[in-house]
Amino acid sequence: MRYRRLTSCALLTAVALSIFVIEAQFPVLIPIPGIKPGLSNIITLFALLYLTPGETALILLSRILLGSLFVGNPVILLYSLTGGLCCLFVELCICKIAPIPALSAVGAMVHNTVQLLVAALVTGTFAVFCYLPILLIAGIITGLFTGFCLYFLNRSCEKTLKRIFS
Amino acid sequence: MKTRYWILLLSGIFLLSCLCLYLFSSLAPNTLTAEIYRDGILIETVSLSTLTEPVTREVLHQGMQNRILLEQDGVSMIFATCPDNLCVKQGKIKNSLFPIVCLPHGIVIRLRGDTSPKPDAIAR
Repeated sequence: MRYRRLTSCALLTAVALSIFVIEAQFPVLIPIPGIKPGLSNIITLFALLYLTPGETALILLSRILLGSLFVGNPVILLYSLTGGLCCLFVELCICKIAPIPALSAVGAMVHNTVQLLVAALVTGTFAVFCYLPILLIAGIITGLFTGFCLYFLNRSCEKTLKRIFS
Repeated sequence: MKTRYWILLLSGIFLLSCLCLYLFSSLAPNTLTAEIYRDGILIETVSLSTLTEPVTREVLHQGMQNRILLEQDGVSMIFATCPDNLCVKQGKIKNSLFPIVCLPHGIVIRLRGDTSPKPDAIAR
């Protein structure tokens, strides 16, 4: 990996990690496990657009591992890791055909659903699936929000970003 | 795939989820039994309608502690040693729509329709 690419990955990881840590300090608006703004997903989507899939996966993994270390909640690592990787896989599959906000919303829904599945396996009860409708609704809303953030950023300074990250 | 198809797809999932939530809440029974699970194993069942005053239950497992308050009209987690405390912040649940889940400790508290037999009619 060339130094320029490595630096880009490190920069994006640092930004994603900062957003993740700041977001963790927000008071919980809806006290249901799995519902959060997921603002650091903006960086994952950004990497998906401007970097290679391997580099995106590297940024995502670094952010999840370091994030759980910094926020001090290693128990949630399993949920974040499975949710994040499945979300990235689906986003990679549909990134050529989906507009950015839809890509982000689908990713958020997949992330929440996979986390719920892991929660059902860990707790051994499928009662947690009662949360599926509300987690899907939350996934659509937060996913569209992060997607539109990236969409407007991309629309306003696409040329500059391409020059920096190409 | 055109943008409008994505709008339709997301709107469809959104509306379907709203419908499910509405159905779940309308079908939720009023008389309730609380079931406490730890790592998928049912450890205690309490019929809330038989309670005359609030009672608490402690779940201690491998240094992890959860304190549950059982009342006639619902159940709440009042103390937990988990890092995020989402289960405590969730407050009292009064129907079977959403269980209280403490993911770090693997505790699930769900309410179910009371299984004790009810009279068909009340004789005065």
